[in-house]
Amino acid sequence: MIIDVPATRLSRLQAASALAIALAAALVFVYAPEDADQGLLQKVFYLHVPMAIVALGGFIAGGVFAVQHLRTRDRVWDLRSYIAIHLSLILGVGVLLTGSIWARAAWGHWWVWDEPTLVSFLVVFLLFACYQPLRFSIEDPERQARYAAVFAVTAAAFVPINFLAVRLAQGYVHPRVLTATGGNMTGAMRVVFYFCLATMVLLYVTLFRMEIAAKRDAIRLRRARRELEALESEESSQGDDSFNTKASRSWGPVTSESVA
Amino acid sequence: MTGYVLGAYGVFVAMLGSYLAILVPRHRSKRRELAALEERIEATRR
Repeated sequence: MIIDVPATRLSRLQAASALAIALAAALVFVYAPEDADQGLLQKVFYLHVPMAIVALGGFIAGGVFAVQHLRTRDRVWDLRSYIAIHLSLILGVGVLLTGSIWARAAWGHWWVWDEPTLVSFLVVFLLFACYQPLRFSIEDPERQARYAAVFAVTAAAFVPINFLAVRLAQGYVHPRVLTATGGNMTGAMRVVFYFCLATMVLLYVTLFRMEIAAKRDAIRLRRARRELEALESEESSQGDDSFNTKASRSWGPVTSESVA
Repeated sequence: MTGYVLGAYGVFVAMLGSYLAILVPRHRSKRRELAALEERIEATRR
């Protein structure tokens, strides 16, 4: 059974996401004050940081869904895990690109290899980038789902470990946005940041539901094709039987010998 | 600085746009095909 998302609910989610994105853009560029230190460049954070948080959260969600698959052997959990990781990988590409653009403007380099935050995110991203080649290298669907789930659980365990390792690292230069004291954000900046984070979560959930609906229809389509093929072959065999009956009445039974 | 900010947001818009441009038409064509197949199945049963 695939989760059935009613079309109206999906449309509402899509509308809410579009509205939230428009509102978030207005808040970022009109309402949020310019940062005293970074100026306009700080606006990249409202996109880059929520994207990174949601991507990492999606990787963890993929691991949790994979655990559910291993516990229940239900293919729905495998599908959910696959889609969660697939979407997080796309967001991960966005995180790396927007981060590089910010780094180029702020530090003068597209990438800094001795920066723990950057390298740890890249490690997690590359780890999950191996998920799809591994998955599609296995033909048997049962084994594919099981192996992919084991990989997803192992890789998801790296996410909090990496996060803690980066937080404990001493020599970082990457700015901290989420800290116990609220980072370097003013009240208005923090409101806009949390709104952008909520918007990114909403967008992720919407895309997740859309992918689920697409996969559900693809499965229904395959089933319908098989059903139609079965019905048509049944019909043609019935037609052959009636021909054989008529033929046997007039000329005797149709056998390979009589045809030859 | 404006160029970098526009570049970063442009990357996001381009990624989201291309993702939806791939997903939505494929899904719609599958739904159309599914509806046509279901009609054929009904007709074959009758």
